[in-house]
Amino acid sequence: MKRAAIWTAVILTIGLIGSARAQMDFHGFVLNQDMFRESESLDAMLIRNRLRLNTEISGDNVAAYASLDITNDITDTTTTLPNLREVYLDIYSDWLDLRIGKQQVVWGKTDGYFINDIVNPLDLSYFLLQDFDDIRMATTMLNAKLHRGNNSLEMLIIPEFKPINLLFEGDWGYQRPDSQTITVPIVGNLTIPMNYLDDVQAQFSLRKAELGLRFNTFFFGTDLSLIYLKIREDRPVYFTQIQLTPTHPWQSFFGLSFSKPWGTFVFRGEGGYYPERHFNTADQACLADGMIIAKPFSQLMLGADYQLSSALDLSVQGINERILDYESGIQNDENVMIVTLMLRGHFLSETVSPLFFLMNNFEDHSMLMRMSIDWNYADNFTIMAGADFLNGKSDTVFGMYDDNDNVFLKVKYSF
Amino acid sequence: MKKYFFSGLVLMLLVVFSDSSFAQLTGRDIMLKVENQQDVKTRQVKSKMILVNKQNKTRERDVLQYSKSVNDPKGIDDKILVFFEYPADIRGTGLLMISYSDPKKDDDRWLYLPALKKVRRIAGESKNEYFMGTDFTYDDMGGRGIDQDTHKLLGEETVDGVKCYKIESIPVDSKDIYSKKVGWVIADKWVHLKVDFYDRKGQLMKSMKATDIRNVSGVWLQFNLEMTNFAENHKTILKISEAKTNEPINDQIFTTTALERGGIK
Repeated sequence: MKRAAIWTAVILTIGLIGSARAQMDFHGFVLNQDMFRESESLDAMLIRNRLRLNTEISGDNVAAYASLDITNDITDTTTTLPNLREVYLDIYSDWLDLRIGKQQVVWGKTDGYFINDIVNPLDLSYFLLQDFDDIRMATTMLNAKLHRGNNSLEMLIIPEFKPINLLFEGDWGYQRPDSQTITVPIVGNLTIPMNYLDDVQAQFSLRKAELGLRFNTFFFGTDLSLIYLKIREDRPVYFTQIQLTPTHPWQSFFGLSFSKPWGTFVFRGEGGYYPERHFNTADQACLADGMIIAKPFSQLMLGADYQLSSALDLSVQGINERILDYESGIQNDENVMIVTLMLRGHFLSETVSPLFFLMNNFEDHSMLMRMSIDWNYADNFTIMAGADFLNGKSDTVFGMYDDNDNVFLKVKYSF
Repeated sequence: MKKYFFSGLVLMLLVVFSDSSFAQLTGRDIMLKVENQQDVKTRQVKSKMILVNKQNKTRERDVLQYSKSVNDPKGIDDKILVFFEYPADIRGTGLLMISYSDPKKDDDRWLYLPALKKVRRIAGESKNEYFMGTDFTYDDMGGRGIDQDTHKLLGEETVDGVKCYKIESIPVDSKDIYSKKVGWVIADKWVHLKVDFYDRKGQLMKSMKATDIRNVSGVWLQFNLEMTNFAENHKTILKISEAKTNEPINDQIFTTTALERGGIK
């Protein structure tokens, strides 16, 4: 927190000094968010109050921004500390934009899924049911964007590494196996307990900085992006010996995305390819590698947005993930096929917005469904109510949270 | 007597010729004059949109709009960038629109939503969609090419003591939400005083009225516009608080990079 406070002070001061005609602006929101398990007892899964305070100092070609969350979570007393979400300095010119500091970078075009949108690690402490702004965890980096007309080239240098925030206990705890059965020659099958070590905290190293490049262009009415990343795996891969040590191997990533309108349709696509992605395996041949195996991995999303009427939008996406050159023993599924469907309405001059979102995994037959309604009661005042349904077998992506069907309410005042 | 006869003849000829000079103006000519009058190279407008529902409850939107006329007959016609500054829950929302001279070519549009931190491509054909809960469609906001409608001069009328040309404009695209628009153009200013919008059934759907028309650096602008939506029982009042015309605007702001910045910096 101390380091964060120093960061804020430095960046805001530079923003002030650098700006001849500095303008200071405060905005944010107060949010009450409640979630109750859909059961007879309706037990509280989340009762959270949050104050977000955003400060922006801007002037000629320079701006500084800080975003602070003060959260009081009645259902989890450990999260009452203030959290400096983002703090950065922007410097602009006609051809170069620089953003230095703790920030979020969004490179994907997929709704509700992360293919190219992998610059920031994810906070999955509430699985995928938080706002995306909360799911992405800002990291400290230098973001340089060269731009000319419809073309731009972005470069990221990310000295801060943070692993994914995955809980292993509680309502949204990720269920990892407690024991593993291995076959030892002569001895036979042995069931050994899994002794997981804690994951690393955030690490800062300029020498081991992650790198990112994105080229954006627009031609023949199509938005096109090409991406290259040299990053560490955000989710832990366990180096398995007597204990399981979370590791975050380095990997290259190549991505591309496009969007192109066609009449009242907008077609979107996103692809990702890892020449080597690391997975845990039960294959004894990998014992010396800590039961880790590297395989090529691909992801693809094709989607379309369609305007059903002036008040109703429909989005459909098909997502495929595949471990190439698959071998039995790998603990992840070879193939994942997900279809998402989103219907969003805009009624009464966009003051009432119902949403239906379905994410169905056809490989493991699990699904996530959200139904909600946003009511913009007055300027800056919004009430959102809804329900989440998760379904599937206990070893599936959504099914492991099958008991977490819930109803929720959010009351938000923005200022 | 001869003197009176010649004076009368000259007067008659003057009347006939002056009338015929008006008669030479077609509906399209007048709309072209409207377009040319407003077709400044650049425009920067700060405005407030007041949305009034049937219970007379109001909502406000503070909007910053930048536009640039390119007028390339084979390419881009206009570039428009819009940012919302108020209310706080939509602050930073931005819209970039590029329209083309070819009436068959759809606009290119991108929407930036700060909550998603993402620029999203939206369909350019959705010109008839209402803009962010207001009673103005994307098309009403600007960028509609003159040949997207066929224009007919219906005559001259005086509205609120102001002499106007009455023009009927019928969309070329049969899928347009309007069957026709009837506009009253102020004769000496070439700016709309009033426009009535008719739905596909021919019923009056919306009516727009300008009540404060000012000259900004040689360009007549409507500083107070009221759009009444009879179909939705809703009204949007657009009040311009600041307007600049023909001041240089960097072309770089009409890009998705500027949208992502969330404002002009």
